[in-house]
Amino acid sequence: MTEGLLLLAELVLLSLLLLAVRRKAKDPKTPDLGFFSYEVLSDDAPPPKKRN
Amino acid sequence: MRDLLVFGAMLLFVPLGLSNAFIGYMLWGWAGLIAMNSYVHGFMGIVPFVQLFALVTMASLLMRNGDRFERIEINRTTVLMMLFVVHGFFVALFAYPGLDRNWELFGNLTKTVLFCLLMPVFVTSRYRIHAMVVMVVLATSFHGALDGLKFIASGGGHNARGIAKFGDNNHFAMVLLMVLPLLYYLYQISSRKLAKYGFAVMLPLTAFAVVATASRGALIGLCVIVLFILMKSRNRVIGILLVAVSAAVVVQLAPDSWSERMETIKTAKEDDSLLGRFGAWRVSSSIALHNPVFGGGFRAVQSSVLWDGFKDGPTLLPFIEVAPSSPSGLAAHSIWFEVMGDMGFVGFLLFVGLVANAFLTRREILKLTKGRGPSLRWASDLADMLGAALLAFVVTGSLLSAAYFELPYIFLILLEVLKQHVLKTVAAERKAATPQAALRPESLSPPRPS
Repeated sequence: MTEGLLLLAELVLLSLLLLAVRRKAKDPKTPDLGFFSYEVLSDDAPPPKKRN
Repeated sequence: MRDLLVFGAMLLFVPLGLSNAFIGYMLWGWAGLIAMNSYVHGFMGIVPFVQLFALVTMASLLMRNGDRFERIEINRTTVLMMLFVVHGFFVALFAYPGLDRNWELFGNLTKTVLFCLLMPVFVTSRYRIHAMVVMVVLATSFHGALDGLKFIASGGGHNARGIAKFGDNNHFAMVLLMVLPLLYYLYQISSRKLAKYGFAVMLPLTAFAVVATASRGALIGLCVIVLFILMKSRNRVIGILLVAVSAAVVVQLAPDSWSERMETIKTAKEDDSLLGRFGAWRVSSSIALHNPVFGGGFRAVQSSVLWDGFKDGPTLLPFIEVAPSSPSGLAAHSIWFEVMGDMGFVGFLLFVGLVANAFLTRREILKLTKGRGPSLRWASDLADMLGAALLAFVVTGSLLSAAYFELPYIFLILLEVLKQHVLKTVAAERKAATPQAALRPESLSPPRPS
């Protein structure tokens, strides 16, 4: 049961990643990778106050 | 049910891979690391997922499906990898007869290096580097999450063995240790809160799975990794609190047998298991001295015939005695002596060069990003965490036969790809800054008379 649920979660997360990559590849102006987006810091802007 | 689930996923994944070669490439890497055949036992159990996605990637690449590709890079890392695999071919060719897994291991090494050499072709931007890291973490920490949950559910009684692909519990622990720093990196860098917390939960679960393997070498490796991450952490108070809570949970949950086994680290010198490893090191170096260029062939030391033939021969470790009662044909139990015995001193030097090159590349990335603005902070963070993962490989691998496992090679090339990306970014920034500097009023004024 645990294995099955984790497998389902794994496949869903991987699908999210692959679809986000496909979206980004089709339109490079897409700003991020959806659920797996990452912080983009600019050299001009001040750094965020808090980051764990 | 699981087979249907995986079958359904393949109906999505294969067309996605065919539509974009980079997606195919990620699926190829994912299939290799997750070893899906260990989790499906029905009609999908016979599907060769890795080969399938490798073919999908190649087909997609030939059709030029995808937005951007680069040529295969010729640099320090790729040259060392190519030399290592070419040398491996001659090792397998001139191996002692009767080595069961000689060509199989050479084949595995070749596939790993092929995958790595293709990485600079596909991973050409920051989002692709990020996607690669997420893919590696998703595939590898899946095993950790599973055993971490079982460890908690069983009240600490679960004994994690891993899957057949990884080998025994020690190898499994090494794999999990290598993914811990990347989980921490993704926790730091993710901007969506749900993803961030997801990675934060995976961290202790994977650490619990390491504990559940009851591997003594892995416990030492875990301490090294945790210390390294704490040193690099920007919020040490939360880090120390997390480590303290996790350690308390482990102490509460772990059974007496686990504590007793870990206690034996103090008396390792009298441990038969460790003495057996020293014996394997002696035999491995003896094989290398006798065959300094090509070694004995892949897994030579595990041949009883070769073991018996070399156990009393000249060796680099003459102070180690192989006990007469010791069984013949043990595993090398060290990545260093494994390569030395299998591939001779030439292979050993190439392997040491590969590992040393990774740490050098990490240093170069840190140097390139030092003093620059926050826009490249992610690159120095990632370089640090890849370095930590390779440190886990070096520390735990020094007592394991794991020299040809694919994950460290993936991290080696990922570091190189990261360095190339930073170099290009820095060069582009300089190029963009130069015309602006040239147009400044002071640069247009005539030179002052000296």
